Amino acid sequence: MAATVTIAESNGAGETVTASITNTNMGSTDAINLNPVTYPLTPNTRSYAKYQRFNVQAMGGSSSIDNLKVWRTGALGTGGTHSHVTNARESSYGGAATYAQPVNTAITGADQAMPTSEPSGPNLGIGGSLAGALTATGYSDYLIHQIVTDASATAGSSSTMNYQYDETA
Amino acid sequence: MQETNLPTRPNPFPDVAPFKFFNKKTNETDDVHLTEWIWQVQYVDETGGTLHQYDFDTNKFHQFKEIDTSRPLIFRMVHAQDKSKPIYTLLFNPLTMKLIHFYRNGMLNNLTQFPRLHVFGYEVSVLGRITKTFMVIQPDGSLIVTNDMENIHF
Repeated sequence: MAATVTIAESNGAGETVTASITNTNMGSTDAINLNPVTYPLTPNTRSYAKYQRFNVQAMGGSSSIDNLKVWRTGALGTGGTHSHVTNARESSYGGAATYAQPVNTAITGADQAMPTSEPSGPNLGIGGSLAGALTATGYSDYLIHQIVTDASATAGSSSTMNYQYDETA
Repeated sequence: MQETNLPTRPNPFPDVAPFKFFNKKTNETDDVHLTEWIWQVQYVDETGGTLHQYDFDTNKFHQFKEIDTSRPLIFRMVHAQDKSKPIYTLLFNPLTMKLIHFYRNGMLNNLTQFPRLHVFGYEVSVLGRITKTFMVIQPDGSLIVTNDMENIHF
C-alpha cells in the first residue's frame, strides 16, 4: 500500500517524543495536542515553539521518502501584526536543527516566515539536507515553528498546517 | 515515547491479501497492500519479459528501482481493480529518457490525509538542459500532464 508517515512532536526537557500528533495548536505551554482555549497567548508574546518531524513509521514496500514541504494556509488573525516563524526554508537551509526544550522566546535560526503557499521545492531537510531522503523508518530534521503576536492581537485565529512528501515505491 | 493510535492511510482494497516484499535492509519479508494505480512493465527488446509492481501470479511486490531502465520498455499505469479506468502507456527509450514514478502525499495538522497522487513520467536531457514531463493521475482517474509538479495542488 505504501509508507506510513505521521507527524511526531517533541516536548519537555528530556525530549518526550509523541509519534503521531492530532493537532499543532500553538499556545502558552509546551505540550502536544493542546487546547488553545486552555493555554491562550497573551498579546505581545510568542507561543511555545513546536519541534516536529515527519515520522516514517513503516516503509510499506516503498524505497524512499523525500521532497518534504511544509506551509500554512489561512490568515493568522486580526487585531495586529502577527507572524509565524520557522527554521524551514528552501534556500540557505541551516541544516538539521538540534532539539531543545521548547521556549516562548525567539530561537536562533527559526526566524524565517512560514510559507503561506506550497513552496516550489523542499523546505525541510532529512539528515541535514534538503536533498536528503529516508530509505528506512526514521525521522526528518526538526521543524521548529512558533507564532509571534503583538500588543493588538485578538483571540480566535485558526489556520491550517500542510505537510507534504514524495514517496518512491 | 507516547504512541497515539491514529488512522493511517486506509487500505483501498482490504479484501485483497497483501503482497510479499523481501526487504534487504531489514532482512524481513514485508506485507505490501495493493494500491489504486499500479505500474506494469513490458520489455520490448529481443529478450522480452515483464515486471509488474504487484505480481498477481507470484503474489510478490516489486519496487520501482527493480525496473531495468537500460532496456527499451512499455510502462503502463493500470487501475488495480477497475477495468473501466483508462490504461496510461508510456513508450520508454533508454537512450534518451529517464523513467519517473512516485506518489505525492499530503496531510494537514490534524493528520487528515489527501488522496494520494500517482505520478509517472520521464526526464530528457537536450543539449545539457533537463526537461521533465509528469503524468499525474487524479483521484477520479483523469490525467494531468505537466512539466512542473508545483502546478499540481491538493
